[in-house]
Amino acid sequence: MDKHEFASEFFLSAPDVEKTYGLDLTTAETIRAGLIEASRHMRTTLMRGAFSNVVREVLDFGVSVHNVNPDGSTEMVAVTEGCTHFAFTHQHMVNMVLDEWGLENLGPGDTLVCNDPWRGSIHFPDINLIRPVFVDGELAFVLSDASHLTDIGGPVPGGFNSQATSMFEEGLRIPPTLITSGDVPVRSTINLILENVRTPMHALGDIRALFGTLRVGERHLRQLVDSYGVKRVKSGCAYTLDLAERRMRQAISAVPDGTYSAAVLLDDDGSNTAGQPLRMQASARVGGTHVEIDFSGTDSQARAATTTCWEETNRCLVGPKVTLDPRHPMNAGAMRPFHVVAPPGSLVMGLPPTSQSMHTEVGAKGASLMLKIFGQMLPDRAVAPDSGSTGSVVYNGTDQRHGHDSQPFGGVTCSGGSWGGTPTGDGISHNTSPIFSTSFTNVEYLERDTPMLLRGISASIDAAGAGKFRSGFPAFVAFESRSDDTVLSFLLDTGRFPSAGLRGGGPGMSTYLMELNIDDAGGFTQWNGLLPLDHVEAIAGCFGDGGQPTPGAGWGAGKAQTLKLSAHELHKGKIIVCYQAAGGGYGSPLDRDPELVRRDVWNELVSLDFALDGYGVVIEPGSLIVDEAATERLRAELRGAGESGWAPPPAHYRSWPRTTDDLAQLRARALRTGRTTVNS
Amino acid sequence: MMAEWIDRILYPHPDVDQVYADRPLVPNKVCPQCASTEVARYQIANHLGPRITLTCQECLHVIAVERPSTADSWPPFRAVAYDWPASPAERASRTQLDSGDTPAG
Repeated sequence: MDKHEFASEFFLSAPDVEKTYGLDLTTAETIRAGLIEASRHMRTTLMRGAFSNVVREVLDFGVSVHNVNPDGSTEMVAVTEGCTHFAFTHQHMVNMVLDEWGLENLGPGDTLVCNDPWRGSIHFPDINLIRPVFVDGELAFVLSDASHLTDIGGPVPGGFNSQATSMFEEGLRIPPTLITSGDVPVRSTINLILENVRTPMHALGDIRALFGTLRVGERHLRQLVDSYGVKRVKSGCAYTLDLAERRMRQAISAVPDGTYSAAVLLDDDGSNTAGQPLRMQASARVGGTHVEIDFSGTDSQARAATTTCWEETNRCLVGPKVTLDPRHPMNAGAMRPFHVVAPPGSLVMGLPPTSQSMHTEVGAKGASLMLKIFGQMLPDRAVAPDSGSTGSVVYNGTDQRHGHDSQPFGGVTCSGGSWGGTPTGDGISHNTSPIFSTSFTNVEYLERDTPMLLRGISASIDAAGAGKFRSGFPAFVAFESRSDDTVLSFLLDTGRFPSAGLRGGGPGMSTYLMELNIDDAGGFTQWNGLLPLDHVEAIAGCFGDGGQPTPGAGWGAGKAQTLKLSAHELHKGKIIVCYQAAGGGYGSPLDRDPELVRRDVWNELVSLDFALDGYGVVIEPGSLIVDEAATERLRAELRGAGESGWAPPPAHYRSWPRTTDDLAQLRARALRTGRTTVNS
Repeated sequence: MMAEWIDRILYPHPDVDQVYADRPLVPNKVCPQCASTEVARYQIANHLGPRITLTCQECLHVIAVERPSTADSWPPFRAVAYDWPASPAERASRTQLDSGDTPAG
């Protein structure tokens, strides 16, 4: 069948819906919305009930509703906003876990727990719960939820052990195990978890919140069944899944048949040896409305922890979802048109006992890779790459503040990088990869609940990839701890290979880690992310002469040889500063409206130097008025230089202040121009 | 790269730099859509998880999708007790349901 002949199959009329599913269209849509509504109540319950900041603020969780098919397989019919990747992984995990456990062994009130990536989980710190829902004695539905625990045991607090060479150095691995039986918690399982983690009471609070979330989901699902009957609700599930499938196939039908390929590089494997980069390669072959994604040619699994085991077989579908059918609610129907080939032993199908503790960076780069590939299919929807890094900092320790009795603490801050420019606008600032889309921390809660202080959060000047539509601005975040027993782990990449621009756009800034001492006034001085270089120590990234952050120069020249640092000690009196990478720009920056460049300069997001060198815009320093004639002359000259002569420079501030006096002069110059947004 | 039978619990580190999927052709198999004999049987993940596909390499027509057998060693990991019977403790609630001792849900 010619792919265009599929068109008549994509949408059903109301009579067709009634004929196919035995439901009038209004009822079918009401059941579809009811399933989503059940998942939204689960989300609210989990956010309100969880103890850990990583759940209630960062939103690193997943909740979903699954239909049980006659052959015993399950399909996720509803999922709602949380950490994006659960919207893909739970579909596989529920099937893999239930295949192993056996549906015939489950009874009402049973809940299974599993955190094993080889069975569809993401990493050991994620506790996934699966609860069957029986109607009239038959297993009809399954509910699942998941939370990231702030610790899962093992040698590194927080669970991200970048130097681990095997899973035995990661933490507690939990195969499918009963955690409630007949609605009664299984003591041995609860104890197994709590006695192997550093933050047991947070873990208990989170596990109880997960229990409550499943009960709330079941209650809402039963209300739906009470209203419509189980047979009609299951028909509504079939309608819901088929609708998502039809929409996805319709989108694929607009893609020319063929094979689309791309590759991305990760900095290193996290072993802290300035080792070789890791390469992920993939192709997507489109035939009709079917797509086969193949990771063949990808590097073999890493020696250290930067590998994944099963996750990329489903997380990779974030590429087609956000490119081909971004608007429709996600469910397993949208996954039906895809087959994924992930060669065993590769970076995306690591074999046990490999460690995959730093799965996050493979996931973030995998999402960038998929957006590159699916962007080729529909050029009008292509966006420049995002920062390609998780941009998260994990902290653990004991709380030595007065009155806190050295209680263990743990938390996560997802400050994120930025998204690339798009065909219609600038990229989003301070946002994590589309495979995560987690939220930033509530700073006041964080500083109340833990000894961590966030001493500075702002955009980094000149960090955005230049373009007709530039990337968003990534975050600069400064961490201090009021406890001497604090360790940080960094989920970072894109320190060595900046995210490229698209269609003439420039690369974004790369990732840097630095450290400095708190000054005599009890703080530190910065201006739009710039620090006096004679006060800071380079930890990891690319640094040029005098410690100047310089893309592509001096990888490994810092105190550490990798950005994937685990259990980095943060002592009182020190501040760790994390500069997140930026996405790339879209389109030539010479085509950017000079007025938009002037606004960025006025807002201290772009320096006068970068306006000139990166955008070809001449701005008078005192008045901040664009010299239009000079701009036109310069842009014509740069365009005339052709492809071999001029390309947008990598985004970064080119002349960092050496001393505090230099920094003070920078600030003073900014004040003289009449701007009011000077940060300190 | 897989041995014919493996325990699927622990593996050595791969000895290659890049890894490619195996797509062995099925002898005497003809694609019903394009009549090509380039029909391969190989490991995939579809929306339901690990599966084995029979797909035409010429036109990408999916001829069949099946659950992997033990000999397919797919997915790479499988629990030792995967096909053992469940213990009474593991299926206590189900036993009650089957005996009519609890509400049917």
